[in-house]
Amino acid sequence: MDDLLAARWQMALSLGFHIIFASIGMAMPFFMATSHALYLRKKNHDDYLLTKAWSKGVAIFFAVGAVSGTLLSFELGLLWPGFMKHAGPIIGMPFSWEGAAFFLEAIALGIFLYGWDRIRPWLHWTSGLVVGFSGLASAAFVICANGWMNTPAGFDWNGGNPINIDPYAAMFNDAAFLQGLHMIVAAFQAVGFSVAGLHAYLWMRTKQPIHFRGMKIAFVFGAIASIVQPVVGDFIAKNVAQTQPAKLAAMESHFETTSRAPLIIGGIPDVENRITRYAIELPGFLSFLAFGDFDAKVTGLNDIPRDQWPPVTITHFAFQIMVGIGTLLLVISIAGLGSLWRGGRLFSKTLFLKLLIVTIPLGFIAIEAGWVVTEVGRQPWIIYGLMRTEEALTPRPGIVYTFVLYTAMYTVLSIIVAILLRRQVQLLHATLDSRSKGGVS
Amino acid sequence: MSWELGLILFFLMTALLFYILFGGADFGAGILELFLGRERRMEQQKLISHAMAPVWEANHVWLILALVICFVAFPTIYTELSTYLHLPLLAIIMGIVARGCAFTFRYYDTLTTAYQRVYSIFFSSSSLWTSFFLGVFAGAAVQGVRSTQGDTFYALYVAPWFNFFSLCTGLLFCSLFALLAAVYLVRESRNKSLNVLFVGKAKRAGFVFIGSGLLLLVAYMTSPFSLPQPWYERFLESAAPASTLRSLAGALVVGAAIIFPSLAYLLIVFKRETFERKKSAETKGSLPL
Repeated sequence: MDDLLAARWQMALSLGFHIIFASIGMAMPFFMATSHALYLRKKNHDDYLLTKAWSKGVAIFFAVGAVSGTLLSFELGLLWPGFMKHAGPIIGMPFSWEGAAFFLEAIALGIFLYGWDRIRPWLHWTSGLVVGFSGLASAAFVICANGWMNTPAGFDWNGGNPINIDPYAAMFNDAAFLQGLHMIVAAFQAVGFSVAGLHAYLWMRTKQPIHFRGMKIAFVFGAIASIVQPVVGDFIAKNVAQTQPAKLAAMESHFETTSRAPLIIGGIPDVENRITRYAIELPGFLSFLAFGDFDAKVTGLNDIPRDQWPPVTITHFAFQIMVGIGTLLLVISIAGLGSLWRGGRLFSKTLFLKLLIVTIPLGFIAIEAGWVVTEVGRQPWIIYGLMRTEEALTPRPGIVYTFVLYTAMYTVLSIIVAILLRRQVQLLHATLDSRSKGGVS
Repeated sequence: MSWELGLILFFLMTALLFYILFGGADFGAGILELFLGRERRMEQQKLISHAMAPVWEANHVWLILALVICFVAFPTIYTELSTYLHLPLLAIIMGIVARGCAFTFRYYDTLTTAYQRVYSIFFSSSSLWTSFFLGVFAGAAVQGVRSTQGDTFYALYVAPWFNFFSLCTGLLFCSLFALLAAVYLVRESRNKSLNVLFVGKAKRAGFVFIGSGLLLLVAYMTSPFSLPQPWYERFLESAAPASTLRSLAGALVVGAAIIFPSLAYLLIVFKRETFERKKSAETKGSLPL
């Protein structure tokens, strides 16, 4: 494995690990705020226990997310000094605001987790909400920086040196808003379905009403997000078509520039022969989705210089996985929400509960696949059209060793977090048992 | 020097200072756990955990703030340090991950004591490890990494930090952090006998601190480099363009207006008892607000 590939893998692994914890940090506070508000208004003890149990999970995930995020802020320089040297001053604004938002999040989390008997109940509830909103803000800011890599703005590129820097124009680049929205909605989908699925499993096993409540709250969040997401996805596809034609072509494995371009579903790209085998093709639909017109011309990879192609197969597969999962979650969401509207009989059907259990990992797989589309689809560029990824790479040798070390570290951490989560559930059940035996919880 | 640059340097120094005062105390508490002795071990550990938990995350954001200021305003400093000092940085990163996780896991995973012991070992040893390498990194950064001889791996990536001066700053950081933690914990301990234990630790840490300070002075006088004049010279050389500095200064001021009151509130909620106890030693239980 050469240094560039090792560095890209290490970065992908670090980001792919961090995004799971960041997503949980974005969405969970709102689930907690819901059950917490229910408890404060109706004083149902189950809502209290649910909020407490969730908040312990959040504390664990937040701690891991915080260290993996700290690690990333070092890693940008450790792996890509050529990028940071030029990009740092341009995209510093979103990072600075992200720092402020994350700081607020850390403070509010401290108040929320440890302030149960120390401050007034509704003030305490508000601190939980502040955790959620500052989590969303930090995600949005960081994604502004990523958006800038896709659609650079706010400077002039003077032979490899940026001049006339306008930090806020760089921050509010073309991709920033939609990418941020897409990610935030995705976080609610993934975490919503994961939590709902987990509680569906525990509900089937224990029949404790607390799990039914947990499942419903999480499901409603996840389902609403899943219905919103296709709309956001449509906007973002049109944005990519305008600003990054090579990425769109790779996503669709669209090799020839044509008008009335077909939407290619599934299939295996044959990059050598520039065709996609075994795919379903819907004529004109790619033109329609990308430009709102069935006859619009869509740039194919043949109009992109060969040395500027992203890896087509990976980008195409990742995109299919993301859209496929999104579609499945959309169907489940409509069915589930429709049923809740009319009394929720679907939630007593074993088959539906089992389906929810299947969705536990799906949203996260879709998030990872989506980031693969964004990041691999931007290759070979680190700043789209301006700086190639290899130009940004650190000169130090032996990156493959740190890659192995990081892989080992993330593997160990994932295993520990999984064990810990299981023990938190055991702890909750021990509390519930002692309560049903007449003990004080 | 423009006012923006001055303000940014002020915030950078503040962030580093607060990271040492608050984050450093967290590191120090971990180091002290290595020297708890057999007497009332669990009690001391509990005190440390409970004193730190609410402020833990906030204490460590100072580092992120310093990093962000560094790569936005002084990109060449950031990239040079992260290229040539990547080995101590790797050590710091691994340590931060290990102790951040071990601390939280220990606090929440309360089912069995066997696991607790493992978390504690990881937490305290990685606290010492990380403090030491933070010091090594600081010592190497002060010396500057550009003056390298030759282009072997050793000359480029090891020599800048593997020298007597940097190892002395490593030692200094460990003892300073332990001293800070011991002093805070004297204040946090609720009963007399625990209090006495931490006073003893503070004294010992203080002696080590003075000793390593003297050692560092010797190292400075015998090593070939001298501190730049004026001290902010290197920051001036590598400062980002004016438009970036202006936006960053604005963001820092607005950010500070949000962060400092929130931080003050956090400290009031969780640490008021600690500081009021002097006046009324009897105050116990929860605080009405």
